Amino acid sequence: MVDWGQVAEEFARCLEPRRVVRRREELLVYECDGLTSYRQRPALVVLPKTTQEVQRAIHICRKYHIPFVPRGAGTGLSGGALPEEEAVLIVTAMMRQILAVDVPNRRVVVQPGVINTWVTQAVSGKGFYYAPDPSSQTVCSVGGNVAENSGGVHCLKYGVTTNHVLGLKMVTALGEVVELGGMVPELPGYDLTGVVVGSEGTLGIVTEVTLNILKTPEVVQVLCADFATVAQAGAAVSAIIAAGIIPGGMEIMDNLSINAVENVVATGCYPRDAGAILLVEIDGLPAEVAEAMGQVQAICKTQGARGIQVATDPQERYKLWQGRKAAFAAMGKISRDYYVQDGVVPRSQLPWILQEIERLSQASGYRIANVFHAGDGNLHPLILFDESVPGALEEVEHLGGEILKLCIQAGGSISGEHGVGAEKRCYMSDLFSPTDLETMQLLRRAFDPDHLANPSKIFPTPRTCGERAQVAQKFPQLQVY
Amino acid sequence: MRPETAAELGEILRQSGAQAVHLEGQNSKAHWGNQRDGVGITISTAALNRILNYEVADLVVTVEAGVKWVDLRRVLAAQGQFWAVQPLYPDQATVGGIMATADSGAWRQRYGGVRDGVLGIHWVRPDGAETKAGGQVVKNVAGYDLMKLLTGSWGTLGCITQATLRLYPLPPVTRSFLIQGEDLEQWRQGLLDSALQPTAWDVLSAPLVAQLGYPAQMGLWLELRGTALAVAEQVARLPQVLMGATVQELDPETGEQLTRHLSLPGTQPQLLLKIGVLPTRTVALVTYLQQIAPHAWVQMHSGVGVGWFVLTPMPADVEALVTKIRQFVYPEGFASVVCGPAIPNRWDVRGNSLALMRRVKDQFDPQHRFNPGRWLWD
Repeated sequence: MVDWGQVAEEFARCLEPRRVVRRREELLVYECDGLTSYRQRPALVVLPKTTQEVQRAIHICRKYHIPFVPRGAGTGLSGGALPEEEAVLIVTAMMRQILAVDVPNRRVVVQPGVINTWVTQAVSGKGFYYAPDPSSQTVCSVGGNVAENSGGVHCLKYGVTTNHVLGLKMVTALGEVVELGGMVPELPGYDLTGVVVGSEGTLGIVTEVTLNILKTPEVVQVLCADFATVAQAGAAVSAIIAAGIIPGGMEIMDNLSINAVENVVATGCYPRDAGAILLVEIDGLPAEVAEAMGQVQAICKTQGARGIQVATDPQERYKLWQGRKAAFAAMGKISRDYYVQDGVVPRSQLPWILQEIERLSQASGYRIANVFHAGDGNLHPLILFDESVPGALEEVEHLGGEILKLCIQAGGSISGEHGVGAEKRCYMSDLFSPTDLETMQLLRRAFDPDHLANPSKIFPTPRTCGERAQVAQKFPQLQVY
Repeated sequence: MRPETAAELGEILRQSGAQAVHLEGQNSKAHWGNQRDGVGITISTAALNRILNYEVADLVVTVEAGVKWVDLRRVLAAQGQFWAVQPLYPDQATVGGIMATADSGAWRQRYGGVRDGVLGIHWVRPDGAETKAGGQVVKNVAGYDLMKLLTGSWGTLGCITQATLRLYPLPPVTRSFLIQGEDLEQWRQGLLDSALQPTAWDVLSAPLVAQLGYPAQMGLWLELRGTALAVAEQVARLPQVLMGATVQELDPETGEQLTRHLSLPGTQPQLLLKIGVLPTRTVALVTYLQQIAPHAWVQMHSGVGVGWFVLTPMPADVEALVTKIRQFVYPEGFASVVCGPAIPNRWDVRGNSLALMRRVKDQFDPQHRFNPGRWLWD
């Protein structure tokens, strides 16, 4: 049995006492991350400010053999920062310094608690920006982005977090401070930067991140096309890719999402009767953008677009994007609760998977809104439900699981950008063989032989996944699709 | 031994006990790294050379590790697509070898490195088990990104058997230029700060420029790719950015010509270094290299700060030369002796992560069967 009083005292000696949270009511805010249906009060929360403090915190965990769960801003959607009952939550939210900005070399070095948009703000005056832009970018932190390998609406052309991280400083679960990668790519040795990004806090805690920034494009235009059906919008996406055009982003919202957004944000720019809208952003030099935009418009018309708007100035662009970025929040207004999934299919399979999701929606009686990164084949079905109805959460989780299985069947994946976390680990066995999962453990053992770093995330365990199987059996009606 | 399937490869590994295993593709880079002592078995991926699945509409291809870059290029070009790497030994290099050595080439600054384009990977472990990571879609965060671990691991963790690669539409027009004159650094930075989007922007040493048939003077090689209109738009802006420079249009195939020049046969004594330096110091570095090694062919990708240094014949005191280069590129950079004598610390692993890398090696290949002695490990 852990003597938590003694452990807390030890943390208080190495951090300021006010950065060690023990009181029940103060622990409440740390019970969950963005996946609010999963909750667990942590035993203790600590908020280090420096690499050395993180190292000391991990040393204390090691001394008492207590697991730790890293947490950034707590906006993750897969329960990656879900606490454990007998574990310390190590929160990097107070590590908020931008440590270095080197515009000529296009590098910015930050602490993990720095908010995603602060990076762009730090360099935008010089004509640069940081590309990965999750919808939560004004509140999510770079540390969390690194842990989950976050994407965003502009990842189609410029890539996700891992493509923009050059180096990391981290404290491994063994308590050693290591510097991985650096200011220059392809440093000799294994690309450990590449494996730590997306490892969901299971290898240690990242304390400094070296990011690559990009030049702000000279011209940016956004096209919004409305279609009678989602299938038509999906076909337009395939046709745009097939034409050799790589837009900065390509997003689809279906009718349910459009109306939710129009109800809440009232942009007045998405036609309420559209089956789907397609947003396409093109960036580059003026003639290049004009040429590509002309082609995209022609393709949309050929695929049956009913109306097309093109925004060229920043305000109009913002207006078109505003609805998309607010889509999840808007859903919260039309339904008491919603459950967001994050599956991926090959782009060409989009029309098929959308039909299947519709079929599941009708069979289950739950409304499902679709908002997705169409260019990447990354779906975000939002299942609307009421958590106060007994059994509803289990049913929608099961429904989400069915969608993931369809993604796997289509040759896709169970997560494009939210991570596996606590939520989806039981589906890992559908994607990977026991040998594959065992091989991933080899990496983990090199960083965390004692299994202390976020131990119950990503990987399935017979106990929890067995329990989930039993939950599913309680709802046999869900088996008959 | 040349297994034709991953299962056969696994069987060979299981049957060969704890014997050392030397991995090769088409053997184009056999002279790279420390030379093998002859003990153990050699497994070639040359017969694993099928293109398994080409999803044209998804810009994704799954190939076996022994597929040659040239063959893959031909297949992809027929569909108007390409894999954005420009490796050395373009006629022999295989997908597996390019991945194992992370040989990205000049397009890195625009399209990312080899690491950024590998969506999924299959490999055989030293115990013969077949395993995989990633998948066949362009966006995927399920499980550890072991594609990046295997990329650049020099065959020391597993034998790559297949990979799923991200492709790009082949731009219809390519134009190449040589920029020479007094203000190379100013032009280098000026172009990067402009709205232009070069696919390659490399600093070339005078002897390498001479190989292209131009006056033996240090220069910048610029490559622009895109639609005719997009390229013309960029070309029209060049005079603004390159004020005072001598600009000559080169063969559109210059990128590949450069890699061919640098791909000396293994039989020829040569010092091949992979060098990294802060991008803002690439012009200064090449200037310095021309002083200390006036005959060297140097190609530094100036947008990212990585490149090649080739010197033949082998200089007398490699260690002294490499030490000077390292003094210049440190603290951020590195200089690895890819081909040359086994000087102490030839690979130049920077930072403090070597012990962690060793633990990774010990986990993935506990008996150190794969490529013993060739790279960082016994």
